[in-house]
Amino acid sequence: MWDNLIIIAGGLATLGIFSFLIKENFIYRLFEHIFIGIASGIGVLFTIKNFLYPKIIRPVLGIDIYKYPDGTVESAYNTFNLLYLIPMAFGLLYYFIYSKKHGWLAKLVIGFSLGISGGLHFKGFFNHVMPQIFSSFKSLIVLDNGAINYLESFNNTIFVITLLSVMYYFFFSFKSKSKISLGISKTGRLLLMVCFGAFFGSTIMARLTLLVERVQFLYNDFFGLIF
Amino acid sequence: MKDLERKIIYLFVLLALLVPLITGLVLKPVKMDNAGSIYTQIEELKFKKNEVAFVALDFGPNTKGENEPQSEVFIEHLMLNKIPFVLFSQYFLAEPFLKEIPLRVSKKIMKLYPERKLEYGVDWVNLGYQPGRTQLIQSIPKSDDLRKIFIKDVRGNKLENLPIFKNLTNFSQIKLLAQFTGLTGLFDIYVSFFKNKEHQPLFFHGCTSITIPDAYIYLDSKQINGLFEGIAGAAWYSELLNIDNPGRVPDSSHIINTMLGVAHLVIILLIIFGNIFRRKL
Amino acid sequence: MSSFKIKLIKFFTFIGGIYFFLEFLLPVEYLNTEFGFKFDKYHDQITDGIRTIGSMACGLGILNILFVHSSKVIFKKKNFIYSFVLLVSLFLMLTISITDWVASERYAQRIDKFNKLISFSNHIQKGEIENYNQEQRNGLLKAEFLKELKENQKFIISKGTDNYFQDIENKITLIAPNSKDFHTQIQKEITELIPILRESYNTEYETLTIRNSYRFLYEGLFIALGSAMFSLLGFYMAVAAYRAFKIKSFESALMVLTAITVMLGQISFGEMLWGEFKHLRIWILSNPNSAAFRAIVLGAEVGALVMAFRMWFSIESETFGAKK
Repeated sequence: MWDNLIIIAGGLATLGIFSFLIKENFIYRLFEHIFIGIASGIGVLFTIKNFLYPKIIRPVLGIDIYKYPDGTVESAYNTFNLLYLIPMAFGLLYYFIYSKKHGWLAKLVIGFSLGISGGLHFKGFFNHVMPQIFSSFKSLIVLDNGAINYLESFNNTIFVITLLSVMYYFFFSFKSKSKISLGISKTGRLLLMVCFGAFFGSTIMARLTLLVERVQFLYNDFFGLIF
Repeated sequence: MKDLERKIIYLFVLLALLVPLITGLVLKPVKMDNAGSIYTQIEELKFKKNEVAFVALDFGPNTKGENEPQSEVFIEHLMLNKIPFVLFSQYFLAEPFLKEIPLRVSKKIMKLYPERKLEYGVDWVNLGYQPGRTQLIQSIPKSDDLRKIFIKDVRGNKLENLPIFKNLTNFSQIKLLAQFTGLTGLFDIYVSFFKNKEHQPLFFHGCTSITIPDAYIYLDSKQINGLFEGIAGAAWYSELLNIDNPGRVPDSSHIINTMLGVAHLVIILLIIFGNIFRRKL
Repeated sequence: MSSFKIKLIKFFTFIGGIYFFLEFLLPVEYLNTEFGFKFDKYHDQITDGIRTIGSMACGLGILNILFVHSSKVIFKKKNFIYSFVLLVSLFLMLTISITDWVASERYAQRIDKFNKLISFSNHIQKGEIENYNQEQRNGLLKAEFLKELKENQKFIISKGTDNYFQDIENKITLIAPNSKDFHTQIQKEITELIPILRESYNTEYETLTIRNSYRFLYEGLFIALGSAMFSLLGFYMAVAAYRAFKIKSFESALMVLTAITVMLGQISFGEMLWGEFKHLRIWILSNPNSAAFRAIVLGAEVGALVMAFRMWFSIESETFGAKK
């Protein structure tokens, strides 16, 4: 019974959203607000349920310490857990953002979070970008058992030309108006168009998949159940 | 006039999508070499005792059309090859997928192979949504005991009481990572931080079609070892599973792939007609 | 804002980044082997602390929604009915989610009690305590196990024999607290029982009304609504393809040609038309596309690094330090 109800609710919700294609209407806005309400409700709970409660609140309060039938305990209370009260209290400063007088306290914790992101970004940058840079140095003439592999050499040449010309195209610090410079910029621009064309072709598939999945649900599950 | 034109196009798209559903037309998917490469690597992988795969389902309802079939076929392959895996997510909207997908797949496999028994805690564990993003991911390779990072699974069971996690302590026991996402930013975190000097797990990425061009640069630099290219990758992977497992009930990726093919043709026709007819106007 | 407050904010911003920066920069293994100083000894705890700070902000979104929409409902502003529906959905989802969580936690704790018995068994084997001798403690363990067994009787479903519960109860009753392999037998029975209990609890949990109500809201409404909203883009894309995708120059023609090639390379109809479309698609994605994207990503990443540096040193902090 519940499975059928879920399908019916899903079908009605989908049709309600699709009614927007005709014109914005009451049904669409109703479902839109239901969506926002539900989304807001679950985010908080998952954070508390999956992290704050098992990892922080339970150890701090000592709820997870089990007392055996003979009166002994599983483990002694670790007083270092009380140190978690400091980040909890510090995190509560976020809520001062609603106060005009004490709003600056929220900026302390926001600034701290930004600082953490900044500090982590250094490591992230080197792990992320360095392999990209190393793999950009491609051999323009590829040898395969002593003979030139023309296809790979051509591919690598195209790769290097594209990389350098696109980087040059975006380099605005100083620009020369010479023919060579304009030629490189134009090449970069054309190759960017190829890139954007590929991007558009891929985006089409992504957007259409969502639509196809919904149409399939409506046809097979929803209308299949009703009719 | 513009309004009518728009609505005619909507109707045209909808009717075109219904054609494969009504006629039952199902086409063989295009061979996707990158998805095929993942399949081969999984087949050739040898997992030692106490080694696991980590599978991150970082997607929600907005990209489930592509990421859900990808994760479903991949999890099916892991289960068929008896590779234990741990599910988790950095995105809270992925919670129901973390629970439903392995259950659905395990029931399907046990129906196909009645002698196989797939059990929660032995074949897979669901850690649920884990907040923390970069802070969490960067702490995993540095941890002395993985069980102390996550403590409990999503059902509230302590990890040391689950068979998979009984001897799973070290990052080096994570042999492979598979991440399925359509969100920007999350993938970069795994690329940057889910490794240490001693060990780098195999990394398979399932992306939506929008981020395929972006993902190819990581394939080139070997920061990822395999790529599911949207729904097409999932459809080809499903085809490979069909070949190796006769009697397997096909999933939805084939029919979605066929409908997509029709939709693509519609878009191409619209581009051509738009340039011919609207140019004259 | 006073200069003291600005300085304090800048100080906290700098402190936030210093640990991870040093952790990346310092040769921690060298420091550990040469000086016996493990810089990242408390890395897990520090990370948990930082995650805690971020997690405490989880209520900000809800508070904001409550402020905005409650005022609309209370003062009956225009379209307040939508705000009312939003608030009802929010509270309904919160209530059902919390009740669902409590229900699942209750089942998890029941299983945990059996795991605790194994832990107690290991604890007894470690050594003697003052008030009880070994045999008495074994007796307490046995009594506790039998008590838990009786409390969970209806969840212990048949496993081969019809009287599985009776079989276990008899086995445990017959184990003498002073027998040599007492703990081995007890732990074996518990280990075999736990998966059966887990399966039973899950089966019952899935039939609970609260669980199904949660599924109704989440799978029935939320997932369907989310997917449907994003699927509208498919229609808009079709209209944009007809109206906006104009070939007016060589560059736009190149873009359209590439787009069509990539599209045909990823669908079955393209393969039917010409078998090489898929190879052409891979070539385009692997070569010119990858190179161009890499150039963009490298530039963006360097910019992001500079921005991270500026944020860390509060050079970008004019909004924090803005004087009114």
